Amino acid sequence: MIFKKGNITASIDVLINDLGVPASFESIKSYTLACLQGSNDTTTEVIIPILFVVANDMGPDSVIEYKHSFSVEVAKDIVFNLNRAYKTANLKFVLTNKISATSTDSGGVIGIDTTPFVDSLPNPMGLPIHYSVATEGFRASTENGNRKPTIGVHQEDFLDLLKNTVDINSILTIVLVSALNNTHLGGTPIFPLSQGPYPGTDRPSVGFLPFYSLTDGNQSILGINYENSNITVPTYEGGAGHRHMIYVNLIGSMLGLLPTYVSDYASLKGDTGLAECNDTGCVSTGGAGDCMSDITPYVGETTLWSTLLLDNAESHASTCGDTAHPTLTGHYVSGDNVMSLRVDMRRSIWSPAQISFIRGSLATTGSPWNSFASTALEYTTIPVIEEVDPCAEVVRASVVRIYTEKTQDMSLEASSILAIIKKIQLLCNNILNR
Amino acid sequence: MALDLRLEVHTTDDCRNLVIEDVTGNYSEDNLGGWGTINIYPYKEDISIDISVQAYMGTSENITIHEGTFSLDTFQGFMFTPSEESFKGFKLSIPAETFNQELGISSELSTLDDTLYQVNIRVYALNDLTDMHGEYTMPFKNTCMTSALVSKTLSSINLLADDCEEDALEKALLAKSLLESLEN
Repeated sequence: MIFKKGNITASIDVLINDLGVPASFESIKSYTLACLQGSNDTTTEVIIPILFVVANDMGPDSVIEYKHSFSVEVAKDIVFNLNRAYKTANLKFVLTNKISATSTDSGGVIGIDTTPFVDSLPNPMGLPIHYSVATEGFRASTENGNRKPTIGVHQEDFLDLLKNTVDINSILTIVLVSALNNTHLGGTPIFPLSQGPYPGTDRPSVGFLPFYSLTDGNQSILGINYENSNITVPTYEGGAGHRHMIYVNLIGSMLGLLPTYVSDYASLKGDTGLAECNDTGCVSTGGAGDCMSDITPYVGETTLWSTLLLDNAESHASTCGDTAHPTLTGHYVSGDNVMSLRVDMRRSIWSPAQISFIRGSLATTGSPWNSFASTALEYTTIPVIEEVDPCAEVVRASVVRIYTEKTQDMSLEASSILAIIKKIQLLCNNILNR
Repeated sequence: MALDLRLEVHTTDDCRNLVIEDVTGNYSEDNLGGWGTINIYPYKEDISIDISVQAYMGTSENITIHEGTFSLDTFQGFMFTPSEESFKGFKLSIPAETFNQELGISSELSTLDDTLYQVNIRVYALNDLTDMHGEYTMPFKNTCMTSALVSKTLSSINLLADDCEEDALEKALLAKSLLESLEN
């Protein structure tokens, strides 16, 4: 389970924050109920145009020197992982061929210089503190409560620029950034590894993925170097080899695969420590970030989830136990929440409920995913993404470099050609000199 | 599909310049190896392109291979590109003197030697030869001067003259036939 302890994404924090706003709450509720209806069509492949924006600090302490070709290579790798993970839901992500309806940009990946968005805020003592991207990181989180205020790159200004540049309502946009703000969950500040809004809110469907959440290979391709940046790079418990799961979870959270409970759960009224509830429902706060046993669990049909998660033995998977269903033979009650994402390094394990929710999201008119899918042909012309397995790093490297046509020794052909040329010259010179 | 580079190589009509032209084209459904989209984009700020040429010089009995490399960054003065930002569709035109100098060929001619050439293009990340994105090699038979010679020979024959001219015509046609066999 990826969302255990909540420290893999700030999406839950953002969702909880939005659910605290009555208008957002109603919007999320409406959206979630609509998606829960599912869709009659679960088999048609749906294309989602996707664009990666590299937030590129041009300062001397930048962690990246933007190179378009390198970024495209990384984008293709992320897209490959997404397509592999979402294949069972028949979702296919394709890099855009343009960034807006009127643009001539090639799309797929663009770089944006974030230097103009560096923010400077006074501290409570009145002494000005200059925050820079280099020292504070790209701060994508919003100001809220006891969190640190927005510093570094101002998210709203950046999003305004993005709105004017990219058709973000038609293109799923993922911004690669230096770092995200710290966030608090269960009272402990943590480093979120990704952030994306729940789709029912009016937030732009723009995801943020810090460079440190990329796989080591992708960081290497991009030349990521935090040494001079003063940014604390969090450690991902899942291990470097599993880090691409973060991409999958970011998209999952933006699809709405988070444990929201917007229907009326009378038994959960009040603050249980595991969920914040009001008259209309509850939302998981994660409590200590562990199992959500008080909330409707997922009932598996035949297989223990834990046995499907390859990294379970390394304690990176769910620690919430699966137990045999008390009455249904061959069924198991998961300690995880019904909407919790479950992916391992080789496959996605979407529950039928999750697939139904995803397809429902695509079918819900007005949802961002419905918009992405309905305008996909306008922004993509690529029928097939290169099917190369990026997990097989060695194989992939050789595939990339295998198209060399070696220079050959053509001495024999040259000898023949020179002989013919000589013969022609002799014939002609004899005639001309006669 | 990886970047599938394509070149056209020819000489100028006066045989004084070797012209190497990129005809890879943009990526499309019909050109999966084209520039951009899922393949690398040809932006000058992102990639470097080297063109190496081997020239097979000498006689049919004694061949010497001369080789030289033309980095498009270094030889941008000899290059035309439709767009300032991109290498796509570049046309590199190298004068014979420069060409011979780079390949170490001793020649007093201001034209390119008629012989076999092998042209190799390599595309790699900017200034990083370890990060190759594409490579393509093609042979080029230069017959420019020989072709001009055959034309001159044919035009010198007086078809209304005596039997000797018939013999000359026969030889000229043989030369033309041999030339065509080379060009094909």
